[in-house]
Amino acid sequence: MKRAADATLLVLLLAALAQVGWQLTAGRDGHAVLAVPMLRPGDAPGSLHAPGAPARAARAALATQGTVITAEDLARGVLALERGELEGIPPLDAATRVEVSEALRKVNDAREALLALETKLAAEDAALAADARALAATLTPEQRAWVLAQRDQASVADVERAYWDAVLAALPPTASSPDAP
Amino acid sequence: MHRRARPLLSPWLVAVVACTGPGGDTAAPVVLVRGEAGVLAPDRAAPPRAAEAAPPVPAETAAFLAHATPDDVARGLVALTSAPGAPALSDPQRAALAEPLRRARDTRRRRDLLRSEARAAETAWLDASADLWTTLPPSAQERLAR
Repeated sequence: MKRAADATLLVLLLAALAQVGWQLTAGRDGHAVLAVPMLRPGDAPGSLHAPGAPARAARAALATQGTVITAEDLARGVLALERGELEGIPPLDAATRVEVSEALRKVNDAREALLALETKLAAEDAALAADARALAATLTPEQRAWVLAQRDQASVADVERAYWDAVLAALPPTASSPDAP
Repeated sequence: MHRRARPLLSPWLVAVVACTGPGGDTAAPVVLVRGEAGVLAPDRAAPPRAAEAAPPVPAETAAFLAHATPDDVARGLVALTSAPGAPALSDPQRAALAEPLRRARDTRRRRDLLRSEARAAETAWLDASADLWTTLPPSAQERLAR
């Protein structure tokens, strides 16, 4: 009986070691997280709210990390390479050509899948906009003005407050809680 | 080998960082980003544009919606039904609101699920592009990174 318990403990220990080892090697190297700041200290509040501002800011931030190229440009370049249209670049050897073709096929499959999803997403966004129009049409001018004037308050105090209160009520009180003993 | 940057503030701009720069130089990474949506979509499958598909809207409603997102409208309705001092909804209004509000709730749920799927698909696309990069010989990488 004791031997079986020892064996179980040993297996668990080995599993834990394997998990830690994976996290320290493959897990970290394969999926390292890179945090790229989007705003600088001098940026004005709300500067990411202008149309297209997040994309521009991201581009500028990423340019500090290295050469930025778009995936579309990469695919176009590879196609040109395949066709021998890149001047000064020797044609790919047979083995590389197979690898590149396979990778290009995977890119295209992923792109098609993304495009199909985005088509559905655009349709749902249009439906949601239509729902919003139907809802807005039922309101009186006074109610519309009130909704706009109270927008932030309605979001923070009247809707999100309930979530905060529910979570805080479910947690044990701390020394700084107003209702702490 | 490549590493992935987390999705940025815009859900439609996710970056994949290829660690190996031209010629395998890890000190000069190449950052792959998604370009313009119009470049991604082939002509035969261009996604519909909500603004083009939308029917005409009365001027007053359009002026209101210019400053309120669908979420603002839904939250505003919640507040109108509960906040003290809010201009009350009449009974006919409540009856008229029930169906579109239910529809909006369901649409938003579907939309949010699709957004999650689309983010994952976008990441997969950029990951595949990063893999494509690593198959290229150094001379081609240098040329494309110019």
